[in-house]
Amino acid sequence: MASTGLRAALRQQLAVQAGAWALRRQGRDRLPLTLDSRRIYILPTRAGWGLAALLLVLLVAGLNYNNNLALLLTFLLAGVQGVALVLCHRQLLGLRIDQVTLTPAHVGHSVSISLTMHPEPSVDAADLHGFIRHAGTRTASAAASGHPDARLILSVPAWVRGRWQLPTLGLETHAPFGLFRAWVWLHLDAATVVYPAAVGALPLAGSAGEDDGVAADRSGQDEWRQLRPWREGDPLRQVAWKTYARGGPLQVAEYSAQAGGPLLLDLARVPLPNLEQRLSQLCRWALTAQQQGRRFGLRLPQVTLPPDQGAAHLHRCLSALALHGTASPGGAR
Amino acid sequence: MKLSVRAADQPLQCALAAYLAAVLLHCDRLPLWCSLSALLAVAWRVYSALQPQAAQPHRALRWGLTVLLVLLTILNFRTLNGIAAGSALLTVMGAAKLLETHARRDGYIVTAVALILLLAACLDRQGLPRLPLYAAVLWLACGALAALGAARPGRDPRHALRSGGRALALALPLALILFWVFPRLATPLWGMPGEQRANTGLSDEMSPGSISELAISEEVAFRVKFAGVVPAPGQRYWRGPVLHQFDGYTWRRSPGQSAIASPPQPAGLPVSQHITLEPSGNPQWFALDRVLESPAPRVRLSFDGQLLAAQPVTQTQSYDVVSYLQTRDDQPLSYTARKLDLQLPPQRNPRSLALAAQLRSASSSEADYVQRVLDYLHQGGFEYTLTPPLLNLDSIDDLLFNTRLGFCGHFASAYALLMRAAGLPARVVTGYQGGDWNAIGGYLVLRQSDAHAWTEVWLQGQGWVRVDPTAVVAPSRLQRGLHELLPDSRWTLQSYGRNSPLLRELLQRWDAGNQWWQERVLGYNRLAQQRYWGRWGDALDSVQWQMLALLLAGAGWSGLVWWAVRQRPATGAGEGLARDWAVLRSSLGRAGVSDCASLGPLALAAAAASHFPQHREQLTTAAAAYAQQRYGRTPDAKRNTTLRRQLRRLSRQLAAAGLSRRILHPQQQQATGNEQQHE
Repeated sequence: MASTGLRAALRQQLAVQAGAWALRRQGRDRLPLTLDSRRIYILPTRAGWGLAALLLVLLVAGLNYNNNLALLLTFLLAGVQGVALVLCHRQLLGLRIDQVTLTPAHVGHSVSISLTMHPEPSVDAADLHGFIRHAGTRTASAAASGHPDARLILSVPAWVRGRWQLPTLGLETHAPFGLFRAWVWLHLDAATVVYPAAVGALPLAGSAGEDDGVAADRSGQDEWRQLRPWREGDPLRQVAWKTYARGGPLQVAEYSAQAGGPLLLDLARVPLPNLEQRLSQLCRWALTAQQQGRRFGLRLPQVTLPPDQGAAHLHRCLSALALHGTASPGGAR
Repeated sequence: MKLSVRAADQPLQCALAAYLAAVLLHCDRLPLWCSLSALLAVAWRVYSALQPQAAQPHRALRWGLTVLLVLLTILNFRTLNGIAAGSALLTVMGAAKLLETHARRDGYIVTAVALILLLAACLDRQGLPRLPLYAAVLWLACGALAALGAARPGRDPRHALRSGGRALALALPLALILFWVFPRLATPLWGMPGEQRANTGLSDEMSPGSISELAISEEVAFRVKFAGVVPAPGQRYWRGPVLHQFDGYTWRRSPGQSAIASPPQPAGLPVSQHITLEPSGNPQWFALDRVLESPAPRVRLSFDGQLLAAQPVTQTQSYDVVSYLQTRDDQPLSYTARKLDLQLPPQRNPRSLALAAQLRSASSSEADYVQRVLDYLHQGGFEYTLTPPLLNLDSIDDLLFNTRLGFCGHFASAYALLMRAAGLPARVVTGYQGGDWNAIGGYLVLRQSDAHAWTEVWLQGQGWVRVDPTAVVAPSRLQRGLHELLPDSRWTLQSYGRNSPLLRELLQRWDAGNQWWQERVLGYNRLAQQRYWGRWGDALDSVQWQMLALLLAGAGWSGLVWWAVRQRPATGAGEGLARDWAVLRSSLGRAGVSDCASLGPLALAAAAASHFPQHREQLTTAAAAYAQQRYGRTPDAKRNTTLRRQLRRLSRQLAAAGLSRRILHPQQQQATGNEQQHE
């Protein structure tokens, strides 16, 4: 057991060192980026080492028995391994990475990294694997898909609220023979925010001036004003399922903003003992208010956001909550 | 119900096929239970892949089976050394592994077992007819590697076989160059395990009937190329085992001690031969009678003129040797040699001894006696036959006075006995006689059916003189070979080929191919390499030249593969379609449709329709079909091919239409051309 632990530690240390070396060597990357052979690393996989060992056995047997047929077999397999090396390297060579998009997440959920790339025509996107290493250990891994433009989506669990910087991204392939593993390290500049966890049992309460931290009017929540076509990002709860079930288009019920007055979510007034709990509660309320189509504002010690509504406003508010008390209080990028 | 293989098991299909094919390569050498267990294991694995709910064998059962199979192997072979036992062990271990093959890693292990079995087959038999079988197993194994390497299970195994085959094709140039330049070992790194190989060809003893067993075999013993004139058939005696000891029934080699004998002197011109010897399992090498000098360092020239190697011939051997058709020896025969070749079994063959005494007393000299006995055989009503009756223990008496039917061995044996009985030292020489001339390859083929036995008699002043009693009993045997004697009912390809010129030529071509394979491929050894690479000059020795060539070849091949892979054709269905669309688009661009590159298919069709109103219908439907096929949810392979054909036809039509328009209205084109020049 001790030896495996030691080995794991050594491997981890080696991986960290290698990553740092690659960063020093390559510098940070700017998109769009086309992979050249200088940044593609390649090593045999376990199966590749196995085949190499088998080749050695075949070679010694062939030489010792002075058997030319066995030698021919050996050389053919050696050639296949060579071809596998070149083909594996070719999988990544010329791959163009166009865009990286990060999607914010709440604490406890996963930040989603979406990489758009354009592989060479003969490469099957399913053979390309993206992964993220944290301190030498793989924390996320996924295969790409799509043709001719491939998309790779990685989900990385987020545990701490605040600014989330994209770590070194790895892109690897074992294709076509699984004998070699070719990979690249991508040092991309991209960041997002991790919102506080959206938890909190306190009800979204009344109007401004009340003591439970929220100002609102509770009446008339279910009165909707009009139907408009569904757009990406609209909460499912607002979909007018009845009309959809009748065969109509997918529509969203817009609630009357007049139904309640604007809410002001104030950190100082949340009746919870812990800062994180209070931030989580505010997060929860903000989401509920958004769902109900109510205008809301946010007041934090450093930042105050006037009442408004919409996805962008929600993101601003949640980012402000996420970054509260962290080193960079500015808005998220 | 349609049976379908579980997706997780699909990568294993090729590995299973490779294993099964590799076992089949050995199946005639393996015990039946061994091949059967492999077959059953594969069948079970296929069944469990088709029936996911099939119960997996219990761990104890698996271990029990493994131990049982290994024990059976040990009991069967009494050893685990050697190719036969080793491949049996690998086969059963592979079979046991199949019972627990789930992960990719297991698939790699099964593939490795298949490859090692293939190696064993290569070590075992190297004939040209087996080459396609070996290639097929290798291909399956490479397909297995490709299938196991694919990230996404559930791909068609044909896809894996294609990419495996492509990798093999790309590997072939490197393999050939490596084969050519890779230095071979002059001596093995360690002693080879003694192979229990079935001996073929002549053995070191001869009983009545032992040579007629060989006579029905068309197997090749060796092939000979001559540097100069090819000796006449009657002079082509290829010397093999020389037999001295006679017990009244069987002739044997001299037991251990070798009589001291001075080599004879050449009396005539040397005949240079290049001989390619097939593996026989015997240490015996052959050459035209007689050889006065050993052709290779590890081959000994015995006192009675045989070539005996230190190792049995298990691989194809080729060597250059010089023989003299005529020799003489004026030294007296040494005492031990004389004693050895006058030995007779006491109280056996009394009538033959009496006959010898009678004939000897009637003859004036030794030479006269030699001729008199030949005359006796010639006139005594003896017949030469491939199927002589069995002889009793006084075999020579039985032959001479009772059956009078015999094969070459019988007559050589009787003749040697009659010589010895009269006090003339005599010995039986076995070997091959005659041979088939292959005009295509320019060489002589000696088959087992050319096996022959003759006698040598010591005559004072002349040395050992060859006397072939068969020549007087059946002269045609030496002139036209054995097949004249074979009854017509015995049908073999070779005998049939003698009557059909076409078949004869085909057989000769096939044999020439075999000769090339044996000589140039299997026989390409250290000596051949030294001969070849030594010619490159003295600046480097041959191994250094080879290393240099190895480096250059490696670099050249890498470049070649790099280039070949860069130029690779589109593989997916989508790209072919996209390419055809691009061709159509560029032909539209040439015809003057603007902004071709930036328009989508439907918009492009609309734009093009204004240029080619007569093709409007075709353009719109093609564009719609293309958009559906390429960007729609369910691309259809069959539709894909028809659409591609349609697109290509449309491109041709539009290109033709555009061309005719340019020819009919050149001014318009001219004008735009001038504009461009001004810019």
